[in-house]
Amino acid sequence: MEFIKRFEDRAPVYAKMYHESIIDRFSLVGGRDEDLKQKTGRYFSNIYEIYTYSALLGIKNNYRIPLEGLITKDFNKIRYWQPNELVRFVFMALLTKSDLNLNLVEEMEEKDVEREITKLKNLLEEYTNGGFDIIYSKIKETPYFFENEYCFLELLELPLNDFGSKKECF
Amino acid sequence: MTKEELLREFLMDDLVEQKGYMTKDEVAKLKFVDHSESKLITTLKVAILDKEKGDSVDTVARKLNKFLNQ
Amino acid sequence: MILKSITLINFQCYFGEVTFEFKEGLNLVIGDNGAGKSKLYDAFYWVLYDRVFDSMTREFQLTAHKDIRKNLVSDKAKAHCAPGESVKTSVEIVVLNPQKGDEYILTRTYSVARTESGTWREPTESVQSALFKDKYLDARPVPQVDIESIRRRILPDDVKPYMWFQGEQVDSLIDFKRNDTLTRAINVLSDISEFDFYEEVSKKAYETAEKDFLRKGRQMSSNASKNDELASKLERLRSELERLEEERILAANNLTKAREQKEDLLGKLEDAQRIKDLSSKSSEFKARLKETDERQNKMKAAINKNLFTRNWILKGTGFLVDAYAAKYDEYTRTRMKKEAGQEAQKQAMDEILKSFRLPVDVPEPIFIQQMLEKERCLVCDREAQKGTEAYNKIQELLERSKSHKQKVKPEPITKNDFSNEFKSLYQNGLQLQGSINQVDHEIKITVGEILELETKYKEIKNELEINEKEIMDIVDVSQISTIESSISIVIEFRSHDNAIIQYEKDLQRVEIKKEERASEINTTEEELRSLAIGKVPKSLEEKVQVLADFSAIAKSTRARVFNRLIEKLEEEANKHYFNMTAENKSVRGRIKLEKDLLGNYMPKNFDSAGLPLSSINDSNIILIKLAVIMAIISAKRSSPAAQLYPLISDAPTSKFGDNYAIGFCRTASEVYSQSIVISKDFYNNSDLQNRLFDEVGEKLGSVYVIEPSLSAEEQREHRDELEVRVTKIK
Repeated sequence: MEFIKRFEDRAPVYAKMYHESIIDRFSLVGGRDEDLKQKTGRYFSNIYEIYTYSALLGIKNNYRIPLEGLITKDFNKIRYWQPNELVRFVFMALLTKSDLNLNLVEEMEEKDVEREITKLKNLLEEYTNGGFDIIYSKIKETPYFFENEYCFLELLELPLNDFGSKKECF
Repeated sequence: MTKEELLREFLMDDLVEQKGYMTKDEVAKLKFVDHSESKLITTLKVAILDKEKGDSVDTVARKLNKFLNQ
Repeated sequence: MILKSITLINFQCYFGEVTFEFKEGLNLVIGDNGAGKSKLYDAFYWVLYDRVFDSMTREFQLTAHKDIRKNLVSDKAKAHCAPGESVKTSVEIVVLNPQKGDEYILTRTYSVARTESGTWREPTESVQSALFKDKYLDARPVPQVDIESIRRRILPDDVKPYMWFQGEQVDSLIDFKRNDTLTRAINVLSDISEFDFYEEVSKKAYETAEKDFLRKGRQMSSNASKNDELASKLERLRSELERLEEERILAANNLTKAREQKEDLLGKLEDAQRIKDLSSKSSEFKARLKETDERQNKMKAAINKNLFTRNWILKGTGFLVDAYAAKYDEYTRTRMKKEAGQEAQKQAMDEILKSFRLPVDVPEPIFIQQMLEKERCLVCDREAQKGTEAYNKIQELLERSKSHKQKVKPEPITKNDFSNEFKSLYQNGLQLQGSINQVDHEIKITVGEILELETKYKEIKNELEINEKEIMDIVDVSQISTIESSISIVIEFRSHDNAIIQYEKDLQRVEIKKEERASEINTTEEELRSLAIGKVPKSLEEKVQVLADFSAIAKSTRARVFNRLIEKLEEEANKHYFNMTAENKSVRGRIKLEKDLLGNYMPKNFDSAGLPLSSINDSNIILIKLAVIMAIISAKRSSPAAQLYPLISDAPTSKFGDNYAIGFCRTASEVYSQSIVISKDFYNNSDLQNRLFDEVGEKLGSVYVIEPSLSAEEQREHRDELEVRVTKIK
C-alpha cells in the first residue's frame, strides 16, 4: 500500500478565511449533545467531515481555486479521516482530475513519487477551496439558506454546469 | 278555515255527542246552509257570522243573548 | 318572493359597492368571525326595517339611535370624505315575485356630512324609496305610503321572526325561560286566536245569561234572604278562588325558577366536568405534539449524519467512478503490454525448445531425471543410452530446465508496483457506485417521511387549538375559571334542591285549596239555581243551558285544536331535527312539547324510552330550537311561508361540528324554497364545502366567501382602512 499510504500521511490545509465562517460555524468537534448540535446548525462532527464535503463539492462542480497568497491552517492527517472508503473515493476522484499518468508513476524514483503525491494533495486543497467558495458565496447571497437543516443536502443538488469551465482557473 | 269547517270543528267535540245533540257522522255530513232546529247549532252560526263583521267580544256576547231571547 | 340581490354601498365594514346575487335554493355566504357576516345581516334588516343590531343593548335599534348613526357609514368611506363634503351609505334589495314576474326594488339611504372642523353631522333619519318593475320591465316609483305594505308583502311581520334570524336570536325566539314562547309561535302557525275569541264570547254570553237567570230567580224566589245569602257566599267564594289562583301562579313561578336555577347549576357542574375532560384532552394533544416534534428532529438530525453513514455525500458523483474506470483501464492495458513483452521472451524460449522436439512447455526436472535413468527419451520414444548424443542432449535439457525455471521467474515489469492499490481504488469506486445509485431514492423517502410528520404536527396542533377554544368558550359562558369553583356550585345546588321541595309542597297545598273552593262554588251555584228553577221562564232556562253548552264546547274545542297544533308542530320539528342530526344519530333523542305548571308548552328532549335526556347537551338545545323554528314555518300548510319567503339565517351551528352545519343547510334547502345562510362553518374548509354541495345538489344557489381586508389586530389600529372582500365561488 505504498502509494495511497504516502497520500494518507499528508495533512492538507485550508484558507484561514473560511475557518470562522464555515468550519467553525458548521462543525462542532467533540461534544455529545447531538440535539444541541443540530439546533445550533453544527451539522458536522469533525473538520475533516466538512473538508471532505467541500472537496467533493468542488470536484463535482469541477471548481478549484489555488491557495496561493492565502493564509492557511492545517488539521488532521488524512490517515485519521473517517470513513476510509470515502477517503479513498476522494483520492480516486483526484486521480481522475489530475494529469498523473498511472503507468509512468510506477517507473518513477522515490523522490518523484513523493512529488506527485504532493501535487495530488495540492489538487485536493484547491478543489476543497473551490467547495468552500461555493458555500461562502451561498452564505452571502442567501444567508437564510443555512437556517434549514437540509441545507447541506440541498447544496448537493447543484448542477454541474454552474461552476464549469467558467471558473476553472487553470 | 271556512265557516263550515269552523262549525264542524266545534260540533266534532265529544261533548256534542255526549249531550245528545248530534253524532259525529251527522256532523261530517253537515253543511252550513242546512236548516237546523238545534238551538246550539243556530247559536254557533250566529256567533260565527257575527265575528265576521268584526264585532268585539262584548258585542257578540250581547247579540247571542238577545238572539236566544226569542 | 325571491330575494334576487342585495347591494351594499359603504355600509358599515363594506367599503365601496358590493353586490350579492341570490337564486332559489340554498345560498351561502361564508366568512370567518369578524369578516362581516353580521353586518350583512344588518343590511337586510336595515333596508327593510331601518334597524341595525346594537351589540350594547343586544337589540335592533333604529337609525336614529346615536350609536347606530355613528357607525352606519363605512369608516373607510368617511376617511376619504373631505371637510365640507358628505358621504352616504345605501342598501338596495331586489325582490322578485316569481308567479307574476314583477320586481320590487327597495332602497334605503343615509348620508352624513363632514363639517369644516372635521366633526360629523349625523341626521336622525334615513331615506327609503321603492321601485316597482312589472314583468315588462317598466319601472315606476312607489309612493311612500305604499312602501309599508310592500315591506309586509316581502316578509309579513308574524312570520318574520322565524324566517330572518341571527345566531343570538335563536335563543330568544324559543326561549326556554319565556313561557309563552310556543304560544306566540302557535299563533303564527294557526288561527288559534279565533278559538280564543269564541271561548271568550261563549263564556261572556253564558255569564250574562246566568246572571240574568239568577236575578230573575231571586225576584221570583220565595226565599229572598236565602237567595241573597247564597249569592254573597258565591261572590266570596269566587273572589277567594281568584286569590288562590294568583297564589297558585306565584307558587308555580317560584317552583319553575328554582328548578331552572338548579338546572343552570347542573349545567355549570357539567361544564366543570367538561372543562376537566377537555383539559386532559389538551394535555394529550400537547404530549403527542412533543413526540412528533422530537421524532421529526431526530430524523432531521439523521439527515446530516446520513451524509457520511449512508454516503449521501456522494450524490451525483457516479461519473467520477466512470472516469477513473477509464483511466484504470488504460493503465492496465499499458501494464499488460509490458507483461506481454515479457511473455514474448518466454515465447522465444519456447520456440527453441520446440526445435528439440520437446514439449514447448519445458518438463519438470524430475521427468528429465527419469528419462536419464531409463536411458530413453520418453517424448519420441527412442533409446538414449548413456554416452550417446541423445543422452547428452537430455542432460543439457536438465541444466536448461533448472536455469529456465530461474529465468522464467517473474521479473518486476515496473519499478514500483501500485497495481493492487489502483485496483483497490477501482473496486472501492465500484462498490460505492452501488450506494450512489440508491442515494436519490433514499433522500426522497426520508424527506417524504419528515414532511409527513410535519403535516401530522400541524393537524394535531389544529386539533389542540380547537380544543383550547372550546374550553375558553365554556369558561366564558359558565364563568367557571377553575375546577375548584365547582365545589361551591355543589353547595348551591343542594340548597336549591331543598327550596324546590318546599315550593312543591306549597303548590300542592294551594291546588288542593283551589279544588275545594271550586267544588264549593259548584254546590252553591247548584243551590242557587235550584232555588230559581221552576220559577223562571223555560226559555231562559233553555238559554242558559245552550250557552253553558256552547261555553263548554268552545273551551274544549279550543284545547283540542291547540293540542292538534302542538302535535303537528312536534311532528314537523322532529322531522327537521332528525334531518339535521342525520350524521350524528348517537345522542339526539326526540323532541317533545311538554306542558308545564303554568299551562305553557316547552320543547324538551327525550330518549327512545320516553325518558328525559339530560338537557345539558348544548348542541342539541340549539338544534331543537332551530328545528322548532323551522317547524313553525313548515307546519303552516294554508299559507306556506316556507315557499313564499326567504329564510335568512346566521345560525350558530359552528360550535357543534361540521356535521350539524351540513345537516342544518341541507334541511333548510329542503324546507324553504329560498334560503340565505350566512355561516362561518365552511370557511377555509373546502372538503366540507364540497360535501355540502354534493348533498344539496341542484338546490344549491349562489355561494360567496367574504373576508376582511385587515386582521383583527390591524382593524383596531387602522379602522379606516377596513373593507370587505367578496368572492363568488359558485
